[in-house]
Amino acid sequence: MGRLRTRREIVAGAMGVAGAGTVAAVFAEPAAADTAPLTDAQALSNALEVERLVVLAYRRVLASGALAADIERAIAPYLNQEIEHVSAVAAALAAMGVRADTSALSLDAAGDLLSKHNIPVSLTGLHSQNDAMRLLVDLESLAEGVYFTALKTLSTQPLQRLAAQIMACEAQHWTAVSGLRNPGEYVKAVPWPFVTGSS
Amino acid sequence: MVTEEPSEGDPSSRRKLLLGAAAGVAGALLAGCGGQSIKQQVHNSQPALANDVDLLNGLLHLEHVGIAAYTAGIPLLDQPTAKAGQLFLNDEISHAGDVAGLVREAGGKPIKPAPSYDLGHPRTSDEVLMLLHAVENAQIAGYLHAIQLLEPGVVKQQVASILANDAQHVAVVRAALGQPAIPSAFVTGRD
Repeated sequence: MGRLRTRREIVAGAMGVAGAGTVAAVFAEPAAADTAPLTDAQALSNALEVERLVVLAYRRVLASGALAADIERAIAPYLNQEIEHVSAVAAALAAMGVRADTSALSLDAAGDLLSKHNIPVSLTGLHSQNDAMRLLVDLESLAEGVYFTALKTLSTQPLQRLAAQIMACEAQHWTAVSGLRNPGEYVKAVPWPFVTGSS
Repeated sequence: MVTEEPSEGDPSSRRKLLLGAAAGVAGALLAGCGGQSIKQQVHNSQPALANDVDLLNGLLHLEHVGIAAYTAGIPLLDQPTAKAGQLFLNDEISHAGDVAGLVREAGGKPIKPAPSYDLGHPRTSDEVLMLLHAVENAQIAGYLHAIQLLEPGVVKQQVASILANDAQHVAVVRAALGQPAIPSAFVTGRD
């Protein structure tokens, strides 16, 4: 923890020396910056795919038997919230006339997605609580990132608001799960002043 | 794969970036890492619009209130909640600096903190937490409103990155109050 506190102090110190703009400049956008802009449908389809992966992961983690009972109780409500995200994003796509698949992701498809995003955990190999919670942390980062990327291009105010609301909820999940992994260590639950997620 | 959770092993690339910032070489490091930072994208794209100055200064006001609330409230918080409060105060200072930068990008002058703010008279740890809960919620609502109005998209992203961090703060504050940390699937600033 002392080492991590030092990171915070470094950030504060950097602000004092170079101004906050420099601090903002140290976090890179997770998405490739030079790719073609996403359409609304593409951005939301990407989000839906990630949300379906997250739902499957919560289901597998909760069914794994790897979690202590108190942690399982704490995490269980987040599955329902992720299912709400799936429904909301699918509804937004449907309103655009885009078919939105909300069915359960297959394990093969989930494995492909995990590989695509360089998450080195198998949904069929969750043997320890640490593995399971690490997976959830990584997936919550991925979910944050998909909405963060979408916000650059989403064209309507309702979609922008929806993406921001869900991104913030994913950040809360991230904090809760990371906090459960590291009880009492707030610096590990909220380590950075800016949330951008991963890609 | 980049995760926000601090690495318990080797220093992460993100840590290297932070260290680089402290050394004043953040720009060079970012160039070496590939990809553009949000700040660089803001510089490379159209700046925040001049008529966004009032909106951004409104957000900056909320950050000043947050800094004042944490600064005044931390001494009254129980341990270890006070440790969280200190971390969150640092976050609010970072947010204020970032929003002030956006005001300048839009051609405006960032407002300065007021000499004092009416924060009520909290006397206990729980009363301070309730104050912080209200302050964080006000910030969240403000950022949600602003995201829909600010341009360009990279500015929306920058604001969303702050909003999400404030949402993390409010989850911790709610838990410290004995309330459900994440009561809704959609963060509104009204929970």
